[in-house]
Amino acid sequence: MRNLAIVGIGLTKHVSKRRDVNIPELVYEAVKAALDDAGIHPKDLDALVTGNMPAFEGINCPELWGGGYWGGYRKPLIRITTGGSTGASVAQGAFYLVASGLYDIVLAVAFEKQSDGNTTIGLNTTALADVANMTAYGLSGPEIEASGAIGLFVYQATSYMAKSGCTIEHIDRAAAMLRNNAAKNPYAHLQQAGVTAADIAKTPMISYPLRFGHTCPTSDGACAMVLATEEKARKLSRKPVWVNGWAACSEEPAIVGLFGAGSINVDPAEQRSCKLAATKAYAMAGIKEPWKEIDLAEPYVPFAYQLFIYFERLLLCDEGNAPRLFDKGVMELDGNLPTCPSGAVVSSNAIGAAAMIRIAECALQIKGEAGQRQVTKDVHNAVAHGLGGQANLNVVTVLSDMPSRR
Amino acid sequence: MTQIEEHISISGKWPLSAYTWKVEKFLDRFTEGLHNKKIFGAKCSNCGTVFVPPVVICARCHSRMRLEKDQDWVWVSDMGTVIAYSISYLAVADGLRTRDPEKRPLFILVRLDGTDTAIFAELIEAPDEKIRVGMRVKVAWQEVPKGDLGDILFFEPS
Repeated sequence: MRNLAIVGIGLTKHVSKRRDVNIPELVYEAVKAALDDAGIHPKDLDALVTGNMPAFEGINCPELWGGGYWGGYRKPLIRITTGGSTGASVAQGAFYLVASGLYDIVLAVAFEKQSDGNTTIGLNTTALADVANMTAYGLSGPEIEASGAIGLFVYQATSYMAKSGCTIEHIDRAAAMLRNNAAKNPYAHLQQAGVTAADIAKTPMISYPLRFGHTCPTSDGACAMVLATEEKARKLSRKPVWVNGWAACSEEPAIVGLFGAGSINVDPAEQRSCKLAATKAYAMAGIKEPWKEIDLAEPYVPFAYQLFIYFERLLLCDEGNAPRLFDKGVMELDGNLPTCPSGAVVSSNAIGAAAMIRIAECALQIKGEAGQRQVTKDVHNAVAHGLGGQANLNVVTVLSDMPSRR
Repeated sequence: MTQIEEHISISGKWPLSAYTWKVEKFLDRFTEGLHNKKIFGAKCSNCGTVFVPPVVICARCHSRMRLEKDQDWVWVSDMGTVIAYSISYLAVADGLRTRDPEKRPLFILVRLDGTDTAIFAELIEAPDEKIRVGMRVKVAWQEVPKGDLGDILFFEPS
């Protein structure tokens, strides 16, 4: 297996509706930025990996009508789609292609243009899968219609709160911290500088315990990254960011879905698959004590309480302890283990792109190129996380300023 | 030449009802049980895991259930424990089959006694402040169950 690094990063500014571009044009912006960052042309690419959630835009085979816009002319290409974790899965697909020795320079592309589609209808065929069809079998399911994606995650939230001592005030404060981080991120969708926990607490309750202020927006956005072997990376970049470990695991917890019992891990707050993926990714990266060795974390947080649960399930502290560490300021930009300096998915959610942006953010922070949101401490090792499906697929990536294998 | 600031949007049609989902062929037996206020589960003869509703392959040990010959069918309790819950504050979508439209619906993820899976339901006959993780609940059977999945859609405190 070969060392590999991120040598180019491209992001688009996230907004609720990019009316001035269509999907391929939006994706082109991120692709061009990533290629320019790496100083290469599509002719230098050996292969591409791409992904989004076609069910959300309602148009399948995006490589068919968009491949040319992302530089895929006469190149090997793979498409990967895994729900909210799509972007991280796409990136991991590219890691495998480079690490395996198959290709030297690979472009990873992830995107979602939610304003062109209908995510609620798309969710009926993905997150709710069997349940939507079962309405014809007596399962009238008020729960299905209740409140979209938030209707799935509230169950994780109440279970987590019962176990951890996390309160709704913690969630208000987490949302406020993340929204303020987002206000320092020029790519983030929601720009609410100075918003306070008291402001968040005034937003309407959607499904207890989650308020409007705790939830993510729907965004249009794209992210692309250029991955290269060690040899190529050292030529292309003055500061390559090394991808030292990665893993993904699905436990099918079936928050909603009579026939989704899967491997019967029925508590949505257990998230054993995240712990398993993190354990494997850290081991691959040679990290033995993540709570000491990891300098920065970008968990996938579309709902503010997930700042806590995934901090724990990424093995950065004992289970149930994250709210207390948050109270001590550990997760702030100037904290001991800054978490979601990007402002998190709760501030920008272009679904297919969102999990790749977690990786891109870690890379920017390691490079010291995160602008106003650059964290105070030096970042040597960072962990990025993606969450897909019904919180069943966890995708973990460990990045570093040094390759772990020499 | 004028600058085009907004792309033209063209609506499409994609009838989702054209798609189908096949359920386990044993579901009819399960719903027949519901008609008699009884809940069937499938118990894996290899590892003992109990699934409600029944499934054909045990996800934990990958054994095939022997549902054809009755061996792996078990009755399970209509009582259970709340694993997680939600209180819906939104004015919910049309067609909502909540029992009391005046009241905010309470939704629960409940593990029936003697099973290893969770099912999804609405908690009725309980005030908001009573709901909690670990709460004991039981199926609120209708007088004459219809024999479909809607029969176990409502639970009440036990």
